Amino acid sequence: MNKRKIGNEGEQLACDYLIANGFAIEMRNHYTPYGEIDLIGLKDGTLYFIEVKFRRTNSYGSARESLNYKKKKSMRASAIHYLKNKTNIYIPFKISYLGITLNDGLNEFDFIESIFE
Amino acid sequence: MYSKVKSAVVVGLKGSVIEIETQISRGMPYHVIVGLPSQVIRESKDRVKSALKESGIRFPDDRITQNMFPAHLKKEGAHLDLPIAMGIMCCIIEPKVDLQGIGFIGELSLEGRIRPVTGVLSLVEGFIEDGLRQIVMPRQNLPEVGGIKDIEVYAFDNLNDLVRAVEFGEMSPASIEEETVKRSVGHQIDFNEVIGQNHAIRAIEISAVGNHNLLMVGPPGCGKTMIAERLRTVLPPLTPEKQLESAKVYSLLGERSTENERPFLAPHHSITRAAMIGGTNALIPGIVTRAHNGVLFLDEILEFKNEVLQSLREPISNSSVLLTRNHQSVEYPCDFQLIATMNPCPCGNHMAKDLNCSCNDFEIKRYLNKLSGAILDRFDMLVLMDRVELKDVSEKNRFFDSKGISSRILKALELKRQLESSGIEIEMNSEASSILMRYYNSGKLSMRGHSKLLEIAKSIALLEGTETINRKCLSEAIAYQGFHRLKQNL
Repeated sequence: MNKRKIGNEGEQLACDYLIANGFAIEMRNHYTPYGEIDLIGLKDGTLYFIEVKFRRTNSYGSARESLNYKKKKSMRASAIHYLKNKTNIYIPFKISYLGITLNDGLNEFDFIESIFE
Repeated sequence: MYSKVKSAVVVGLKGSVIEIETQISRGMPYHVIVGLPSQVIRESKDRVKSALKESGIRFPDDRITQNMFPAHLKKEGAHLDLPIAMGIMCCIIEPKVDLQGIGFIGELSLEGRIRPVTGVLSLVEGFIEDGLRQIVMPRQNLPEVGGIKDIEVYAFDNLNDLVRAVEFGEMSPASIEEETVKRSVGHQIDFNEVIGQNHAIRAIEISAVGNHNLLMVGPPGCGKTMIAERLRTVLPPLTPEKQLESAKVYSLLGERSTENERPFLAPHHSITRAAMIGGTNALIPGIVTRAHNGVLFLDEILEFKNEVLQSLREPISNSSVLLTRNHQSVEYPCDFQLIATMNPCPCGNHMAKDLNCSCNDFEIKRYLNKLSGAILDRFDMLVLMDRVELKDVSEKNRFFDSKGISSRILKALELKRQLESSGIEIEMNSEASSILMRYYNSGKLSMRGHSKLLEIAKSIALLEGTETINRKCLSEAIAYQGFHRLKQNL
């Protein structure tokens, strides 16, 4: 099993979770010159650019901790790049985080609506 | 999640209660402390995080915002580690105790130990003024608050115990064992080692009764310093109130004052103005404040920088010093007795009986002018000393010893207390007042000098055990007014 596969597995879990919570998935694995956006979802007229983190263990730090300043900066740049190229009108948007941690065989979901607050 | 805990900060010598509000909300890991924290407090974030983790509490991976109220007051000191940690903790657990009635102080180590802090007495006093009677503090600071009544102190060694106590509401006040620091045995000196110079020893005795500032002038090697150093062996013990004042000063500096011993400070003459008066950006107290309720001894006073001596003017006459830096001012007490020594001329032999002075008048004048009139005026007594004659040396003329002087001083102070409590003023008899009149009219005395002379005469009367100033007392007091003689014949 390679990293891509693990990533896909995590993103599939994330998609299921988001759809169950009323999101419509617009796009998966969108690449921009500034980096990758894992998921783009739409809910109540707001676009959500979602970074998905999947962890089997917390031995190497929690999933939340892995989101550093550099990653936040590149996510913002990617989101703006997407908005400029794909949309003509202003759509309210949020840059979000979804952490999934495997805990005793159960997936724990940790969704933060906006990481810039 | 929201919580509020109370702590205090030190402003000058006074404690001031602050509130630490904590709010934890969902978000990316982020910890911010607002409300004018100093660098030490900003660093405490990392100590708190580590200490909480080591104490078995999951440190929240959320947005933590902490605010210190009032926002305008600069918060200084590592003793805020503990209240900051408690703020975060009380958001997570449900405290079973009423946090609003408790003040927290303590520094944390990375492993969660609660370390002792400085300035405990001032902080505790701040809590009491604000109506807080329950205080959580490091166990090692416990002996310091032994003298304070009406407070409940909870002492802890580590954060883990404190967390458990707060969580289950099982806090029991610690019994305060007053630990007294024994008199330092370092100085085994005694007045009986001094040969001759009985008049100077007598002057020291009088100055100790009335806290008179004393200047000793004499040739090198005549025993000025030796006598001044022995003053500390006869100083009366501090009263409990004054002891608390001194303890507060020393607690702020992170030191323990010794039992009821008066401070005796002898700074080297290279001292700077900031070190003497206090200051720097942190507004730390200087030597004059350390000498509060004690003695400031300036050996070779003429060698001190002029700016240092001049800056002593207000502290001597006001007994307090107001320092102002960076938009804030603090007032420190500095009620000390000044003892100083100096030579009468550059070679030191001017006015000596059987030594030849090699200085000319101009040199002597220039030398003495280093001591401005303003400073000279602040000395109540002047003692001119001379070389001890050889016959005194061989006869080992040891007239005084510290024990005898000490008991005489205590007796005089006891009499003073008795007279004060029964409202009796020390009066002067008619013979003495006619002498005083004549002395005043000779023009040697200023109005200020007149009242000082009376004070000295009172101290002498107390030592003699009488309630009236008689001729003998007054004549002796006049003998210590030899300031005009310094510049005589020049």
